[in-house]
Amino acid sequence: MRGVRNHHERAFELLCAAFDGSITEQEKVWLAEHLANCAECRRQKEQTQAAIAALKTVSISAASDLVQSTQRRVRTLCLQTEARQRRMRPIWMSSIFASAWMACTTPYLWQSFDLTGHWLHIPDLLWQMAFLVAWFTPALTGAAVAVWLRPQLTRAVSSQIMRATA
Amino acid sequence: MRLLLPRPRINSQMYLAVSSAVEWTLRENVEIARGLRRRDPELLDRLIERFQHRLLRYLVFLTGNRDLAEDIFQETWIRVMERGRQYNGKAKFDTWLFAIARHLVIDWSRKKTTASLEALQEQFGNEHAFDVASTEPSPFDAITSRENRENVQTALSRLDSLHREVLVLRFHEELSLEEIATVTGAPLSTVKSRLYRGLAALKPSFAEVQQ
Repeated sequence: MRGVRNHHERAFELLCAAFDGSITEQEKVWLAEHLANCAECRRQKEQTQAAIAALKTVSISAASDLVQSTQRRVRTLCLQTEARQRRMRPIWMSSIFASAWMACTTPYLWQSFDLTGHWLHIPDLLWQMAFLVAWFTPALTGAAVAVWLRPQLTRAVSSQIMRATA
Repeated sequence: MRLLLPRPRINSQMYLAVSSAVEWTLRENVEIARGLRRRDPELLDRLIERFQHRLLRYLVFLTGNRDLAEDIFQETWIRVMERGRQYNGKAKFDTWLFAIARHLVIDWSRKKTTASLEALQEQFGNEHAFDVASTEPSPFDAITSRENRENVQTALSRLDSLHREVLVLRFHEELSLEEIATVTGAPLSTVKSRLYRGLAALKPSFAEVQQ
C-alpha cells in the first residue's frame, strides 16, 4: 500500500517537474506508463493543468495614475539628488583647492612671514596672525563662493523640477 | 573527423538566433546598469512603464493586499533609483527588481512587527486582491469562467505567501527555477518544494470543476 502511495507521490512530483521542463527521458517514460494505468493520477494531471491555466487568468494591472504618480515621484527625486550633488560640487572643489593650497604653501608662507616679521621688527603674535589669515584665505574664499552660488543653484533646480513634473 | 563537420543548417540558425537574443539581453542589461548609475530619469520612466504590471502582480501575490502592494510598488522604484549603482548588469534586471521588491515587503513586515511573510496574509490579505480577467464569450463559458474565477480567488487567498510567490514567478513571470532562487534567496531544492506544494494546495480547488 505504501509503495502504491509513493508511486502516486512520485508521479505528482514528476508532473510538476514536467511543467518546468526539468524531467529526464527516463522519467518521462515512467510517468507516461504510470498515467496510462492510473486514473487517479490522470485526474490529478488534469486538475494541475486546470490550476495552472486558471492561475494564468489572474489579471492584475497597474492603474495609469499609479504609474504616473510613481514616475513623477522618481523623476523629482532624481532631480533633487542631482541638485544636491551640484550644490555640493563647488564646496568640494573649494575644499580640495584650499587643502592643496595649504599643504603646498605652508612652509614657504611661514618662512616668508617669519623673515618679513623680523626684518620689519613686527611682534611675533602679529605676523603669526597675518600668516593665519593668509593661510585661511583660499578656504574662506571658496566657502564664500559656495554660499553665494547656493541660492542660484537651488532656484535653477526648483524651476527644473517644476518643469519636469508639470 | 565527424566533429569538424559543420553543424546542420537549422541548428546553426537556431544557435545564432539564441546567441544573438542572449547577446541583445546582455547588452540591454548593461545599458540599464549604465543608465541607473547616471540616475537617468528617462530610463527610469521607461522601466516603470515596462515593468508596471509584472511588478504590481508580483507584489499583490506576495502581500495579498492591493493597497499595500501599490505603496510598495512606489517604494520599489524609489529604491531602484537610489540603489541603481548596485546593479551591475550581469543578472537580469527583472530578477534584481523583484528581489528589491521582496526585501521591501520583508522590511515593511518587520516594521509592523510581523514575524514573516506568511503572517502578512493573515493581517492584511483581502479577498479582492486577485481580480481575474472576465472575457466571457458564451453563457456556458461564462458559468465555467465564473466558477474558475471564484476557485482561483479562494485558492489563492488560502495559499501562504511563499507558495503564491513561487507560483506567480514561475507561471506568470516565467522565470526559471534558478532565477526564482536568486529572487527569493532560497536554495533551488526549497524553490522546487514550494512550487510542488503550491500546486498541490491549488489543485483541489479545481477538482469539482473537472468532475
